[in-house]
Amino acid sequence: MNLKFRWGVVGVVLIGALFFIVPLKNSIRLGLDLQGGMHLLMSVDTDKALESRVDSIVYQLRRELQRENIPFAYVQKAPQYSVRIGFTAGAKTADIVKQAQRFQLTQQADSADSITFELDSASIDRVRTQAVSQSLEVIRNRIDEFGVSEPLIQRQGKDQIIVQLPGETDPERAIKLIGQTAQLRFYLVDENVPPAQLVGDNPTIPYDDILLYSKELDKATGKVLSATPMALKREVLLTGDSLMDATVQYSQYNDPVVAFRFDPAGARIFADVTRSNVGKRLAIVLDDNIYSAPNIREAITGGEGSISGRFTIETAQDLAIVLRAGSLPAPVEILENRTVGPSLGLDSIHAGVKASIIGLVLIMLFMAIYYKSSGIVANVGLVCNFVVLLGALCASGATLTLPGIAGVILTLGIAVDANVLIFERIREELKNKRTVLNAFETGYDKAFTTIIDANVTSLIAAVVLFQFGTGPVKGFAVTLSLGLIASMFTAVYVTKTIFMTFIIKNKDVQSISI
Amino acid sequence: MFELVKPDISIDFVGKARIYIIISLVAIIISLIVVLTKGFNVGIDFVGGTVVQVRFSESIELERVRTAISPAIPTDFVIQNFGGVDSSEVLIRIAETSKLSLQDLSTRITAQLSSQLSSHSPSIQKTEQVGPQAGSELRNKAFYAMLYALVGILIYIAVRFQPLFGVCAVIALTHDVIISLGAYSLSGKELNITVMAAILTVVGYSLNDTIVIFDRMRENMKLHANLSWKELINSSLNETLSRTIVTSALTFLAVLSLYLFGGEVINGFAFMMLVGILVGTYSSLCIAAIVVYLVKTRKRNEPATAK
Repeated sequence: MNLKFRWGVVGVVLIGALFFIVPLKNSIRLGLDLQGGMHLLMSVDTDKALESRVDSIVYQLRRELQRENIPFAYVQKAPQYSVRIGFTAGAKTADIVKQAQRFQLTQQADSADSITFELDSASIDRVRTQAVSQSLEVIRNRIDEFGVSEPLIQRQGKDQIIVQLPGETDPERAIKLIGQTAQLRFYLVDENVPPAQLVGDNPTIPYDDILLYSKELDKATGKVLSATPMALKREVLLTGDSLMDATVQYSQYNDPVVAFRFDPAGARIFADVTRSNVGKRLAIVLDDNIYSAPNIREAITGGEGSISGRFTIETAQDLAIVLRAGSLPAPVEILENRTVGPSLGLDSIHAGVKASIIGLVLIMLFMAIYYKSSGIVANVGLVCNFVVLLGALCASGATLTLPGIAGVILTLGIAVDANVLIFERIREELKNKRTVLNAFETGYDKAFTTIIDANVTSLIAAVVLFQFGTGPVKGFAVTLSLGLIASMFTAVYVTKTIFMTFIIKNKDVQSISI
Repeated sequence: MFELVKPDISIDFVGKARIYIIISLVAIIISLIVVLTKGFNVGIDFVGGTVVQVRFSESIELERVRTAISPAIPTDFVIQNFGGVDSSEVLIRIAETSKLSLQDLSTRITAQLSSQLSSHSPSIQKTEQVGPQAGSELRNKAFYAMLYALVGILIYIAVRFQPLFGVCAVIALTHDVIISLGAYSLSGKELNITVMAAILTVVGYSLNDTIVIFDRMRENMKLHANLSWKELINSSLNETLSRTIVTSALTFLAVLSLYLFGGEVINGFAFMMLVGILVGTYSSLCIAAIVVYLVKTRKRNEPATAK
C-alpha cells in the first residue's frame, strides 16, 4: 500500500542517517575553526628555483669546457635565466655552442666577444613545475616525520600549496619546520682573503668566491645580533642531497648537535675533500647562513659529521627532521596563516550549538502556537530535517565549520518555510470551502512548485559560494545545500506522510487543526 | 485560528508604488554615501595583515600589552579588547607589513608575550595572517561570486517565469545588497569573507520571498485572464502576505538566536543576515513586483490586462 511504502522510505532514510551519525564524535569532521589547528597557504618561489638551476648550469658548463679543453674567457649568469660565455683568443664558437646545447640552452644573441644562451621555455616550465611538486613531496615527508594526524597537503593553482594540520598546537614550530628551505651545503673557506677585506661597505672577494655570514639572531625580536663575514670558495663540495641520515646527539659539553651520515657516494667525496684539504676550514652552510667552519684535522673517511651551534633540543630535533626529509628546491613564502587554538574552537562549538538549540526551540514554539497540531507535525519534520542533514554531513565526509553551523540554523528557517507555504495554502483552500482532504491535496500540490523554484535559486547561491569560498565559507555552502535538499524530503514528504496517516484513519474528517 | 495577517486583508501595494520607490531610492542614496564616505572596517581577508587573539589569565591593561610587544613590531598596530572592556582577551592587529615575512612577525609576537607577560599566562587563541597577494585574490573571488550568483539567478527566473521578472528580481536583489552594505558600514563591524557569504545568503533568501510572489502572479494570470496588472499584483501580494510575514519572522528568530548566542566570530555574519532579512522582505513586497508593474504599464500600447 502507498502509505506503507511512504513510511518505509521515511524509516530507511532516518535509520540510514542515524547509522552514519552514531557515534557523533567519531563520524563528523570538524573544520579547523572548530577543532583548532593550522591552515597555511604557501607559494613556492619558482623564480629562485630557476635561478639556482642557471647557477648550477653555469658551474657545470665551466667544468665541461675546461675538461674538453675549449678555451673561453668566462661563463657567467646573465639576466632572464640566461648564460653568457666570453670568448678568448682562439675560441671556436661551434665547440662552445655544442657544449651549451647539451644543457638545453638555446642561442639567444652573440656579440664580438661573447655569446648568450637562454633556457628554452619548455625547460623553464619544467623547472617551475618540478619545484612545486618536489616542494609538495618534501613538505609531506617532513609532516609525516613530525607526526600530525590527518594532515591535508595539496597543491592549489600553479605555484601554491595548502597545508592543514588539525589540532596542531605549536604553529610557530610547525611553520618553521615546513617553511625552512634547509639547503645544506659544504664549502671550503678561502684562507687567502684577509678578514679585513670583508668588513665595511664594499667588501671585495675574488670572482670564484662567495661572501656569506655567520649570523646570530635574537630569538624574540629577530634582530641580527652579530654577523661575521667569511669568504668561501664558490664550488659546492657536497649538499644535503647526499645525506642518508640525521639525528640529534650531544656534544662533549652536553649541548645538542645534529649528527649526519652521508650515503656511500657522498662519504667518498667527503673523504676525498677532507684528505686533500687538511689544515683548511670546511664551512657548513644551511640556507646561506654559516653554522660552523671547523678545521679539517685529518681525512674523514667514515662519512659522518655533525652540525653544532646554538641549538635547543627542540630546534635540533626539527633540523634533523628537515635534513632527513630533504631540502625544498626553492624557498616558500607564507601567504596565509590561520591558526585557531583548541579552546577557542571549543568555545565556538558551544556557542554554535547553543544558538542552534535556542533557534530550533523558538521556531518550534512559534509553529506549535501558530499552526497548532499541524505545527507539531511540521516540528516533527524539522527534527527529521536536522537528523537527515547531520547524517548527510557525516556520510559525505563534509567538514563542519562555524559558518557551517550558521548554515544549519538557516536551514531550519528554510525547512520550516516549506511547511509555512503548504499550511498557508491549505488555509486558503479551506477558506474557499473545499473539503479537508481536497484542501490538503491542493495545498501540497500547489505549494510544491513554489518550493522547488525557491529552493533552486537558493541552491544557485550556495553552489556559487562553494566554488568561490575558502575553508569555513565552503563549509557554510555545504551545510546550506545539504540542508536545502534534506528539507525537500522532510518538510514535504515526511509531513505529508504523517498527515495522510491521520486523514486515512478517519476518512470523513471534517476539520483539521491548522 | 491564530493569524498574524487577516485573511481578507487588501493592502493597495501598487497604489503606493511612488512612496516605496522614493523610500528605496533615498535608502540607496544614503547607503551609497555612507559606503563611499565612511567605508568599511575591512578585515585582513581582503587587505592582508595579521590578527593575533590572546587570552590572559585575568584582565590586563592594554598599555601593558602594547609595551610588551612593541619591540617586536616595526610598524603601527592596534590593540583592543575582544568581547567587552573587562574581557581578558585582547586582539592585536597589524596592517600589512612590507618588510617582514608573516612568519617572523607571529613568532616575534609570541616570544615577546610569553617572556614579558608570563605573570598573566598569555595563550594565543587565534592567529590569522593574510599576505597582500592572497588578500587581493580573495577580493576578486568575492566580487565574482556575487556577479555569478546574480547572473545565475537572472537566467533561472527568466527561463522559469519571464525575462522581465528576472530583471526585476535582480533589481530588487541589488537594492538589498546596497542597503545591507550601507547598514553594515554604519555598524562599523569588520567586513570579512564570512560576511560576504552572509550577503550571498541574503540574496538567496530575499529571492525566496520574491519567487513565492512571482509564482502566485503566474498562477493568477492563468486563473483570471482579465485582471489588470494592478489587480494581479495587489491580489498576489496580499494572498501571499501571511506566508511572507510568518517565514520572515521565523527566519529572523533563528538568526537572532545566532546573533545573540552564536559568539563573537559569527556576529558580523548574523548581523548582516538580520539586516538582510528585513530589507529582503521589504523589497519582495514593495519593490520586485512593483517594478514589474511600473515597466508593464509604462508602455502605452500594452493592453490593460495582464497576460
